[in-house]
Amino acid sequence: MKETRNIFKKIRLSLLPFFIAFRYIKGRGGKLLSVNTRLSFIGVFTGTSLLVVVISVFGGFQEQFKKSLFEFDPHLIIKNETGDRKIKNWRPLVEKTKSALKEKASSVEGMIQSPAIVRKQSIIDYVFIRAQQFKDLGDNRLGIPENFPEIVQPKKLESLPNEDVCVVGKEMAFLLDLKIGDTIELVVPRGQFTLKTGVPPNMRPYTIVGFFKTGYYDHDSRLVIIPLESAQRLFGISDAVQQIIVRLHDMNDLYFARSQISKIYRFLYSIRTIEDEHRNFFAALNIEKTVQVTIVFMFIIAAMVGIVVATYNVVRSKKRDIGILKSLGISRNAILMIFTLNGFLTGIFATIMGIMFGIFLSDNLEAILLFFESLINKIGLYYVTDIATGDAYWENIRLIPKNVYYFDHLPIHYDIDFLQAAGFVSILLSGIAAFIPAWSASRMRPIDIIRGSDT
Amino acid sequence: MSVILETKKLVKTYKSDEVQVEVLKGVDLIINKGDFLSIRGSSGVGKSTLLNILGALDKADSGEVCIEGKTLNSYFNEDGLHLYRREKVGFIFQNHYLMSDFTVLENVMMPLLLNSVDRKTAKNKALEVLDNVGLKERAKHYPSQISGGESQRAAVARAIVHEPPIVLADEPTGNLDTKNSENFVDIFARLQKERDLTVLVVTHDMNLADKADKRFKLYDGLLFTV
Ligand SMILES: Nc1ncnc2c1ncn2[C@@H]1O[C@H](COP(=O)(O)OP(=O)(O)OP(=O)(O)O)[C@@H](O)[C@H]1O
Ligand SMILES: [Mg+2]
Repeated sequence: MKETRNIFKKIRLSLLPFFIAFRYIKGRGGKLLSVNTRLSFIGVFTGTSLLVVVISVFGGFQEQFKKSLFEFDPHLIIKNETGDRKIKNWRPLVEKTKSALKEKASSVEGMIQSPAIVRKQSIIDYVFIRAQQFKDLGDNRLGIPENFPEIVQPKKLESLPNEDVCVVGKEMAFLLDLKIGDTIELVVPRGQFTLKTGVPPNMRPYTIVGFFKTGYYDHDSRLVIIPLESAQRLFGISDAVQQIIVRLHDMNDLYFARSQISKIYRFLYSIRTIEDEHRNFFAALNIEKTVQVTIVFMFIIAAMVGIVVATYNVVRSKKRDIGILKSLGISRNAILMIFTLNGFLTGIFATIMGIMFGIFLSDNLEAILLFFESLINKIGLYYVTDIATGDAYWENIRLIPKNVYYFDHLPIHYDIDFLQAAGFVSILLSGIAAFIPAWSASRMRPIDIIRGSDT
Repeated sequence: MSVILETKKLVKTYKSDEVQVEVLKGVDLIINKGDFLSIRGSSGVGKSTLLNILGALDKADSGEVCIEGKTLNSYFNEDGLHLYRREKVGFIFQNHYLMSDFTVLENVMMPLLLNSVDRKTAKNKALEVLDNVGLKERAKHYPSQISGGESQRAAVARAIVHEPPIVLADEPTGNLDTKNSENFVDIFARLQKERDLTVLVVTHDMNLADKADKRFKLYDGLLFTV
C-alpha cells in the first residue's frame, strides 16, 4: 500500500518537468507559442521541409535516370572472349540461361552491338548500332519487342517492315536533322581482320521508321536500333550474335544472377553487369548520394544551431525561474529535463510538421512553379511594358522549360527510409542540442541568481 | 517546546581580491516551534548571508545547522540539498519572485507539486492559503497582472502552503510602500499566530520587527538579543 503510494508520488514528480516545459513552449496565456519556441520551431520546420523538397527532387532525377537506363539497357551481358568473338550457338545458350534464371529473368536474348559510322549526305558522325530481336509477326512484318524504349515519333508504331530499317534516338534525330522516312548509311567493319587488308568496311542504307527516347542522353544521341537479321546481313555473319543479354525483374538479383549463370559460361565467356558497363554513371550517382547526405547534414546542423541558440535564450530568459525553482527545491535533473524537453519537443513537433509540409510542397512543386510562372508572366504582360511600344518586357517565361529534354515533368521521388532516418537524426540531434544549454541551466547556483537581481 | 532549528558557531568569510570579509563569526541560534524571530542590522552586516545559509542556498565555512535534529551537512552528503529546500523551508525574498509564465495559483501550487502532492489536493490547499492572504479572486491571474503588494502576499502563500518547519523571510516589506507594508505585516502576523508558524524574518521595518516575540540584532558577525 505504502509502496504504491510512493510509486505514484514518484510518477507525479517526474511529470512536473513536462508541465513546466510545456508551459515554456506554449508561452503565457493566449499566445500559440512562446517567442523562443517559435524561433526554434521555424528553424527546424523550414530546415526539414526544404530538406524533403531537395531530397525528393534529387531522388526524382536519380530514379528517372536509373529507370531510363535499367528499362532499356541489358542488365547482364555475356560475350565470347575467344576467336572471332561471335556466339554461334546462341539459341541453345539463351534457352540454358533462361532455365538457369527461371522467373528472375524478364528476358534473355541475342544481341549485336557495334560502333559504326553514320552518313546522311555530307554529314558524317559515329554511332552505336544495337541489333536486337524483334517479334516476328509474319507477313514480312516485325513487331516492337518488350523492353523497347518509348517511341516518340510516330505516335503509333505497331509494326515495321522486315527490311533494313532503323529506329534512332530523338536527340540524334535533332542533331543530324533526321526525319521519318529518311535514309541513312551505316558503315561497319566486316569480316576478319587481315594484315593485308585490315578490316574491310561494309556499307548499307537504312530507312528511319521511328524515333525513340530513353531519357539517357548518351543513348538518345548515339544509338541506332536495328533488327537482328538485318544486322547479321550488315556484318556479314550468318546466324550468330555478339552478346547474349539478360534483363532481370529486380536489380537486387544482379550479382546473384551473374553467379547463377557463370556455371553455364565458363572459361570462354565474360559476364559483365550493367554497373560495369556504366561505371561513370553509377559513380556519379554515388557522388550524388554523398552530396545528398552532406546537404541533409548541413540542413540538420543549421537547424540544430537554431535549437541550441533558442534553448540558450530560453535558459537565459528563464534564469529567474531557475533560481526560484531551485530555492523551492527542484532537483538538477528536473531542471535538465525541463530545458532539454523544451528543445526536444519543439524538435519533434517541428520535424514532423516540416516533413509533412515538405512532402506537400514536393507533391505540388510543379503546380507551385506553374503558378509563379503565370504570375511572373502576368506581371510582365500587364505591368512591365515598354511605354513607347506597349510591348511587354517579358512574356512566356518558363520555369519548367517544356521543350528541354529532361524536364517535360518534374520527377519527384521520396526515399521513405531516407526521410525516416533524416527525421530520426533531426529529432535526436535536437534533443542533444537542447541538452547542452539545459545542462548549464541545471548547474546554475540559486544563490547567484537570487543575489544577482536582489541587489 | 521542541527545537526546530539550531545553529552552532556558523562562520562565513567572503574572499575577493585578497580582501577577506568575515561576515559571520560564529552565530549561535536556537529556534523553537512557533517562534517568531526578527533580525535587524545595518546594511552589509550579513543578514541575507545568514538566511541563505539557513535556507541551504549558501554554504557556511564552518559550524553546523541542525533542522529537526538532522544536520544540513547530512543532507549535503546523502539526499541532496534540494530535498532540504523542498521540505524544510519556505523562503520569502525581498522581491516576490513569482514565475511569470504561471498563474498565481500555479505559483502557489509549485512547492506542493515538488513535494509530490497530487494536483487536486495541491490546488485546494493553494486556494485555501490564497484565501488566507486575501488573493482568492486573483488565483487565475498572472504575476504581471497583480500589484507588488499582492505579489508579496502570493509569495507568502507560496512559502507556507507546504507547511514547512520554518519560514525564512528576507526583508519581505523592503520593496513595498507604507500602506502595503502595513497590510502585509498585519496579514503575516495574523497567519503566524493562526497557523502557529515558525518564522525567522530579517527586516529593517520596525513595524514588522516589533511583531516578533524574539528580536535580534546582527552586529560584527554575531547575534545579540534586543
Ligand atoms: N559573493 C560575494 N562575494 C563577496 N562578498 C560578498 C558576496 N556576497 C555578499 N558579500 C558581502 O557580504 C556582506 C554581507 O552581505 P549580505 O547581503 O548578507 O548583507 P545584508 O546584511 O543582507 O545587507 P542588506 O541589508 O543591504 O541586504 C556584504 O558586505 C557583501 O558585500
Ligand atoms: Mg540583504
